[in-house]
Amino acid sequence: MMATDDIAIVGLACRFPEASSPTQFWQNLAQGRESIARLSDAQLRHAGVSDSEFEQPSYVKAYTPLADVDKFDARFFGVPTAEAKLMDPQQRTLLEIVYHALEDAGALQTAQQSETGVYATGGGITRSYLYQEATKHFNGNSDTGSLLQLLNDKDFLATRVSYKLNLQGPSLSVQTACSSSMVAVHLARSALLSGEIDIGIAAASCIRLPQDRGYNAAESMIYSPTGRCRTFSDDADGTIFGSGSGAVVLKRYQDALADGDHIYALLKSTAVNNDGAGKFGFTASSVPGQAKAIVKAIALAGISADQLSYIECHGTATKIGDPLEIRSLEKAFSLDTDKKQFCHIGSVKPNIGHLEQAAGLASLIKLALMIKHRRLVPTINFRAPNPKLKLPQSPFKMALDYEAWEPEQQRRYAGLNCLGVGGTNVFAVLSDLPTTDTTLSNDNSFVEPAQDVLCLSAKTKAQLVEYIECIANDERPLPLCALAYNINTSRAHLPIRNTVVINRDMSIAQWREQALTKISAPSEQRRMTFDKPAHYICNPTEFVNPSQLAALTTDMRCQHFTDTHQRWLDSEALTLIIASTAPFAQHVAQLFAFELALYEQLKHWGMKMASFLGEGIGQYVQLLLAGVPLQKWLNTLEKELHTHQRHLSHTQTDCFSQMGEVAIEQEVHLASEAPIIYRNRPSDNTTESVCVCDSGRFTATDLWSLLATIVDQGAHINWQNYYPFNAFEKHTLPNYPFEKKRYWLVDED
Amino acid sequence: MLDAQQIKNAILDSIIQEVATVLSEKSLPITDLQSATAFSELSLTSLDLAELISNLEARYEVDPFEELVAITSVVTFDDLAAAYTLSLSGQSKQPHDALSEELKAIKNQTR
Repeated sequence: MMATDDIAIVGLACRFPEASSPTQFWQNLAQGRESIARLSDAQLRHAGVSDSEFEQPSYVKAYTPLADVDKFDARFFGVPTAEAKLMDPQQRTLLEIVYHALEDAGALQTAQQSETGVYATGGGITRSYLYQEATKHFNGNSDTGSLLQLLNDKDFLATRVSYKLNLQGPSLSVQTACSSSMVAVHLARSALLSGEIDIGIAAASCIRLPQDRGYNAAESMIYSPTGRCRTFSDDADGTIFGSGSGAVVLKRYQDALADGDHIYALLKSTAVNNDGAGKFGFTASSVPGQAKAIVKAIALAGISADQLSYIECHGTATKIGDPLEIRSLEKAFSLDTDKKQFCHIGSVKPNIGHLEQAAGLASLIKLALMIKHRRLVPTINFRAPNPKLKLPQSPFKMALDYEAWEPEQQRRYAGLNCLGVGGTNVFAVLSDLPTTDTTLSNDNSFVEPAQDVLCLSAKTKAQLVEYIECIANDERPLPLCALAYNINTSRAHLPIRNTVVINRDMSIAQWREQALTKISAPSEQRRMTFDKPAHYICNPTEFVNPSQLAALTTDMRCQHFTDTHQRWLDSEALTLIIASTAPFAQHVAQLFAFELALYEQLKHWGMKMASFLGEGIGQYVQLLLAGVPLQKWLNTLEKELHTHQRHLSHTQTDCFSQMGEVAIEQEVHLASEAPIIYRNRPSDNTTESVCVCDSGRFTATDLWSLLATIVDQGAHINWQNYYPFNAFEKHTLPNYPFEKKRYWLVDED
Repeated sequence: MLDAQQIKNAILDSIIQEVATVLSEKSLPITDLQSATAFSELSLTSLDLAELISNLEARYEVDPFEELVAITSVVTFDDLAAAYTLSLSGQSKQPHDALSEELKAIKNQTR
């Protein structure tokens, strides 16, 4: 594939009016839903609006209902209750949204290890009801460094996300009014292209509080006096502002392909500029300003305007703004084409209102979903075209139906126009994936394993149960091994864990059953934890047979085992042992290579080991690992092998386990508090421990059971090492179910 | 017949008159209003400006904002008067306007 400047949208999350997830948002868009609710007088009074206020004829009793603005999973993010109540809900919601977007991108773990940039924007402070309330409670202390400032000011919007999610790339708040979130996208894209970052997060949160208070349309001509947004319609009378949060995760397209990411759409280009002084006033929009950004973005995308088949417009539904936007687009298109009415236009604002700083991301997420689903969705509240748009003479026609998006050109190219009061314009060009690249990602020879582990985890037991149910009830469940891969690699591994050994042919219902049974089983008393390095005690009791070896060398997750095993067999020490004339010398060499490779494989998967100790014949393995010269102990080993042969006739197993007792004496230091992993369950097991193999006879299943056990007990597994690169395709799965607990400043405790 | 300059001067006078009316309705100080005065220098809200445009539209029966604002930037009274003059002359659809030239330059620079 040629190097491109394309950026891939690999993850997204949102909470918009009447849509708690991108899935629900898409359903609402497809159905042409208007998420605007009417307010009763009682609701208005409750929100603090006086009768004299809302009885004015220009008062509009409408709002865009955004659910759960008062709720937050403070415990999850480690925020004390008092601070959670004081923190701007815009910032609280943004933490959850960015977390979900990273989950969706499968990048929650890799984001912390990469240069991950956060570009975030938030809604107003001066109009913040909560801030005003809080100022009363804190006797006006909102000075620099005060809790009130730290938990509310926009300066801390992006940096709090970076702090709470441990992201170490650039982190900055971006504010250009209604174009803020697309400027954030532009900055993330630029940083990706310059190589400054490897993962970019653009996020926006604009929540108007109290939500249900309506507005007086007489205050500004941009307010719709009817409480609806009718973009491009002849009865358009202004806009209704709304609340919402959204985030997208961006990567360079080549990286996304290489990482096997699930790509919604490509961001081909973005262009940002400012109108400058050449306009009526500071708040006016400007045709030259918009048109210049549009032309630049189209040129940067390397396409011609007639390849665009859809434009997601800013479309505020104001009398002056709408025609100026169409004129700007028309002007830019006229450089490339004089074709009429070939390109669909639409806007999300009639559906969910104008989300101000988050408006651009609402448009972007809508467009990304349209590209993913290859569907146009209706722009609602459209009666007849505003004659001032002069649509018939323009390149544009309204998108009014939920229909297949099948442009004449094979590729779906779309534009996104976003404007901000103050004159900062953004235009972006998006596209679907080139068809040649879509099948490229899964060309490896990975064979689906017969067994695996599926580790789901949460901060609390109740949330873990909810999480299991969410995953089990997913409308389009993945095959279990693909599910395990997606969960293990894309989700955080939190303190309360549930790890189940799964079989390839298990159903999701069977997994759910097992997972829930395991949770409800009475937990063992004080268990050891594997979140710190363990002692590994190598005490094999049987020689390895070829089928045991093959079970591992044919498993793609055990590549490191296979490599290490061969390396040891080829080593000078084992070559000498194999050449020995002592009985069982070859079996012993095979056993030693197996044991060392097994140990190295466990470490490669991320298990932290404090020490490697040998018991019985394992003491020789310890000597090998420690690099003790073979001359010092080969004779002892050979003597023992002769003894073993003599005793074979009667007490076979005893002899084997006693072997190694005459090996060179080794010093043993066991830090008492460290957990212990035995290769085999010892006969006189009095200490708390786990073992690779319970029965003496090793099977591959033992490994997955061991993994399940120690992951449940806090072990950190490096899933990137565990799975072969791009073992399965990445998929969108249900997100972590945050606890919906109310934190509200004016509530009594 | 009036030439373009005379028409423009007449329009400029009526713009100044309309602005003065709006300002006095709002009891705002009517400062020295000249052709070089920028709309943004006055304490006019977007609502006031909309009212002004609507009044001018009623008087001249043309709306320069449909076409001309697309290619000219209206900052001062003089700019607006020029836009009306052009609208009234019927020459509003110039194929090679200055903006198009500027856009072409941007396109060529970017590629």
